[in-house]
Amino acid sequence: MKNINQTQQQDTPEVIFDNEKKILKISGNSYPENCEIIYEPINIFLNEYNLNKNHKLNFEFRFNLINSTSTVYLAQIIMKIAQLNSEGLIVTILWYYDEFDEELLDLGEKLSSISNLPFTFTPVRD
Amino acid sequence: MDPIHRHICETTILSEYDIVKKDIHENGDIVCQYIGTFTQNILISFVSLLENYMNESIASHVIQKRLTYLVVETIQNIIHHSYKHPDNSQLAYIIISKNKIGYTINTSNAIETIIAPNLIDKVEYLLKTKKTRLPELFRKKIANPEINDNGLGNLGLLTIVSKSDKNFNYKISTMTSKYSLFHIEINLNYK
Repeated sequence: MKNINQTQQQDTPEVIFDNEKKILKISGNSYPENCEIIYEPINIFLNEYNLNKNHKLNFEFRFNLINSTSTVYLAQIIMKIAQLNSEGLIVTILWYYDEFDEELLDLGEKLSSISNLPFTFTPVRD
Repeated sequence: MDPIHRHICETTILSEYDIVKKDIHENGDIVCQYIGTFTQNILISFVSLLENYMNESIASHVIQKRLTYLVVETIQNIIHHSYKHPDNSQLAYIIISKNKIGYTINTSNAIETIIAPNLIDKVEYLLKTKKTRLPELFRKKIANPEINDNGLGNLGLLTIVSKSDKNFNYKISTMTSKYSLFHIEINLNYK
């Protein structure tokens, strides 16, 4: 299984996969010029995820600022996770958001609603 | 864009920029502004500048966040949809201002007049949609997430109109036979 690791920059999130704990974490700002560079490797990672060897996958989303195009790419990823879930993968999704960021909470709720995946929402205080 | 069209367009944008700034000075203060070519590096710098300003602002954190989201979307709207010269330069501006009621974002950029009718249709559709229906429209779009050939999600305008609670005004005015000025004004009340 390919690993996935992207360092955080001012406009791009950090993406880390902890293979031991089976946690994929995305955190930071996401308003890049080219979203595909950030999100396509995650799509490939999910497409290649071997369900026969791995039955669990945990996700941690901890965005600060996310733009509309990143939202669409993220929605594609969430729908892919829902598909893997329907094929037997056990998933947990933790959605952290700034306690003052109603927009980010709302986005998480929408993503949970469109995918029928339960998200655990956790407000974060700076 | 030939030199005559370019001169007319740049003069029009500069003139409007001065008028908007003069209007702001009568009722409030400029928080930050930029005029010139918009790039991703300009966006990063602008967001950083705005976040530093926000650390000292008395506006609620909810409004501060919403303003930052709106600034990202409006600048990326200019980056991706404004007319650019073959050398990728452009003349566009953004001004963030504040007064007793709230923040205002003004942006202007050149567009090819040929795309104006389609743009008007899109904006008018969003403005005619009830405020309470906009989140559902957004939800439907992300339920069928599609990326266009340019790698964009086509949700920028919907996001701007929705996050501004429809406190969104726009104007498209002809500058030359081929080019128009697309002006946006977004108001974000403190409460």
